[in-house]
Amino acid sequence: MAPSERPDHSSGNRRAVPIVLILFVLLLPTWVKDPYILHVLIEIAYFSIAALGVRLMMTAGYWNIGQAGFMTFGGYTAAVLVLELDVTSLYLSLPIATGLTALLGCAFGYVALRSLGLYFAIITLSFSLVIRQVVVAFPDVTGGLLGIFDVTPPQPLPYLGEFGDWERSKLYPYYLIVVLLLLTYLLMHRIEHSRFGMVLRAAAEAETLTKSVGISVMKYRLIAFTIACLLGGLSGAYATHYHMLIHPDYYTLWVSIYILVYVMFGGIKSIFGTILGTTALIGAMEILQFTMGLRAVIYAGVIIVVTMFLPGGIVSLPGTLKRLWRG
Amino acid sequence: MLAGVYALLTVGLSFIYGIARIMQMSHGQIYMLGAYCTFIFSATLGVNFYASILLSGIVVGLFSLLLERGLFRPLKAETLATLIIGIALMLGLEGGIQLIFGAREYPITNPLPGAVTVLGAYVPKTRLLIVAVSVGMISFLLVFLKRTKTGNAMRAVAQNPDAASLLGINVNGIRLLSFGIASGLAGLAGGLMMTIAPATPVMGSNLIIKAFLAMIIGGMGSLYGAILGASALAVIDSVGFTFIGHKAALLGYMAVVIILIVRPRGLLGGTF
Repeated sequence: MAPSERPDHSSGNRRAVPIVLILFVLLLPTWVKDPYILHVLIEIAYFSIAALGVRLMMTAGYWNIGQAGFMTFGGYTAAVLVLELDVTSLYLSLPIATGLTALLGCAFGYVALRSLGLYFAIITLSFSLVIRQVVVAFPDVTGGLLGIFDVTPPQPLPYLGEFGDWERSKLYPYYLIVVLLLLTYLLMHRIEHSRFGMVLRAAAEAETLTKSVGISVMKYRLIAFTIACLLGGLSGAYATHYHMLIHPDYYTLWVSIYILVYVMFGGIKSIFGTILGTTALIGAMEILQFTMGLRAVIYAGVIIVVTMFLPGGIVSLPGTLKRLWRG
Repeated sequence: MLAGVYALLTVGLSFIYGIARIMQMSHGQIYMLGAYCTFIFSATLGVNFYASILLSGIVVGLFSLLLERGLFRPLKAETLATLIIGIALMLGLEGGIQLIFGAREYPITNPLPGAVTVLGAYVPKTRLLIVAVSVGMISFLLVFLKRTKTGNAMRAVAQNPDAASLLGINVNGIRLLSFGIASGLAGLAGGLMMTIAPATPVMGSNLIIKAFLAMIIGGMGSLYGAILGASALAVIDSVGFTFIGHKAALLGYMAVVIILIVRPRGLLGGTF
């Protein structure tokens, strides 16, 4: 059939896909019971949340290489809340830890956002390193280099099982993180298609012009950065509860860099792309476990190939293939 | 002595950034390759140690030309993509070396045993060698930039690539050459390091953070700044370590934060 004769499935497909995906994700645990796979999916999910925060700043034109630092902060706050202040309910510790991280992000952003893009990247990078040093420097509160173990799990929910029950039930953490990820996705989607998102993108492309229309660019960027840090803190706090431990080297500088790579790999333009990129790369890392030493080289190779040939990230793959097909 | 190695790396990093506008994340791994090359030449092939160091500088420089031509040139400089490629290279090179050589440490080769008294302190001769070579190579580089035609071309590309190409300068070639020279210096530094510390796959990642910090302190894309930054950082690290021990690493980061608040361009930022 000639292209003009082929039925136009585009809009119908596009609306169905997200619903199918969400249903798939929600129903997954009914037939995939392997705790290892669920574990990997949970990791993908909370890293996606952090990655979406980084992506938000990227749309504003700022590279945040310090997300791991905020994850660490959120994680330690959660751990300290549980252990020192006896906050055993997840529904209390998560918001508090997230909120405190957001406040930190706001304060930090107020200083950091004044710099140009490159220096902002360096400042965020330094921040994540400094956080690690600060954690190590106060062992009475944070357990120093040993980290904090035995972070007591929160109250269990009926049927879904306990949070800390590693082998038997991953249902509770899985559904929790899926819900959080969905909420984050919705938030990102709303921002992207709102005036807020538009201002961020405009400021990224033509800052002076945007300012000349009377928009306080700094204010928008600060809000975006606060959200990004909020997500980082949420991710870290969740992870602490999930793993029941936190350690200063848990979220190293590398992790911040990996997150940046996930976003870039998946495609900056698309929110779903970030989630896809995170899934692909974390999944690749797990699958490649079996290749032992060769793993790093293959991983690097994959990243290089995608960066060279698919500048829009893997989410642009269908589009690129379509174009190549049409010739 | 520590400043010497820091300086070689930082100068290389600044060189690449200033001329080719690439943030070479994997520069530390290039340095690490130099160390392993030196080991291969001297221990496995029995080449004279000094020659090995020189040879590994050359080999690593040539290898980096391939990297620039194949990976960095197709991407327009200064985008996120070069950063990602650099990161991927970091992982790949480190993983590759780990695959071939394993994670064990490769031993020190000391061609100059013994120490010399300098100003009342015992200084091992190897450290003097490092200082001598670093100072020598960097001075040579600076003279090269000022006095030779190619050096001037490099400075021109650093200032304004478009104008340089209008003048008939082969900008791509200059970028390639500068990448090679900087990587060669890094390889040399790696070889030199073999005289005082064992070679490990992770020696690159450990050191490159210092080089980045030094570059920020001294000013991005400025060679004199790189030297200044590296020296300053080395002093901070050494003095700090003597007084505070391991927490001294924090001082370096604090210095960077202060610089970024007070003078974000770096101490000598702006001029090549």
